[in-house]
Amino acid sequence: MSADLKFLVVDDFSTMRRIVKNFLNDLGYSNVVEADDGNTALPILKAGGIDFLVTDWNMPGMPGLELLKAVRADPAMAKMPVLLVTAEAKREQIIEAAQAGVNGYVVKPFTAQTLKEKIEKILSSKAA
Amino acid sequence: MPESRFSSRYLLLVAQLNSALAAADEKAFEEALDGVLRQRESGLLADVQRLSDSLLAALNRFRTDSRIVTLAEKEIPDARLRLDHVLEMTEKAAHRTLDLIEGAVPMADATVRRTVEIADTLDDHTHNEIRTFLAETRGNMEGIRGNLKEVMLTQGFQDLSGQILRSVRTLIGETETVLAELAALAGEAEGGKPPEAPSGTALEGPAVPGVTQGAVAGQSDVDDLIAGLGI
Repeated sequence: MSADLKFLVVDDFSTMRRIVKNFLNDLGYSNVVEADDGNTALPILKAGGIDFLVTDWNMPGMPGLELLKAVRADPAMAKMPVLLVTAEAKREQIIEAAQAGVNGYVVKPFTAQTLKEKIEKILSSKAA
Repeated sequence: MPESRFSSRYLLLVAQLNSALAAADEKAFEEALDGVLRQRESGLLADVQRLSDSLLAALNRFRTDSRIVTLAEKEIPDARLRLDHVLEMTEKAAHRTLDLIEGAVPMADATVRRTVEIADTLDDHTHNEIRTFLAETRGNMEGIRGNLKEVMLTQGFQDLSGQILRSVRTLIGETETVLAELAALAGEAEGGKPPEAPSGTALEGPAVPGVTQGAVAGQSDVDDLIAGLGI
């Protein structure tokens, strides 16, 4: 079932989107769409069909935290799993993201193992 | 002493005011009052003149200091463009590397599959050398595949270095705007560059050693913090 999940990867750097997409493919998730900031991601999310959001934080336009808040504020997607993959590494930022309802937080640069563990942890807690 | 200068300036005028007031001589009082006001204005004018001279001297210094004008009109815009170029080059290089990896991984996968298929056709008692070779090839290909994936992950440097370059670029743009305004004020610049929009965000991107404060030490710190927050 999990291999059918549709992921949305949001990052303003096309190289990072491509890297995350490749690793998701390796984990068996081949259904991946991309957006370059919150403003372009939100219409894709609102259109429906996305099961898992992986987003950067620091992006021009709408940053990832605002996108997370918009997702949590919308009843149709309030429970969507959201993983922040970001270079922002200050304690208060991590706390702010947690308070906004993030499900996982990965600091760049990350390893393939870290990304795998966080995604699997979020999916197993959602399935429980 | 300033106080004695102040006293000497006003002592006579105040005495004139007092005597005119005592004599109820309105005309003399008005004249003495005008004297007080003139005295006050002359001090103010001197201050304004001093300020004006200082400003003129500063502007003249600025006009003759062509280094600042050169910085505003040429070198800082050049630095901004050079950073843009670095961003573009690293992005292209990272994508080219990812193209090559995406091309090479399926080849490694196909070779692994083929070694298994061929090994399955060989009986267990003969072709020892070939079977050994196929097992080694499979192991090597899996190693190469793993390394290629690590190289792919390493291309994330383009995102991390790019974020730092972008923040420096924003700073340079703001400096450029300020210097262009100063140069225009001095009458030397032919109009400034359009103002660069400030970043409008407190997000700093990747932690820079010696610059960023309050950052966690690594993913394990993040995990501890997140776990402590009940997530």
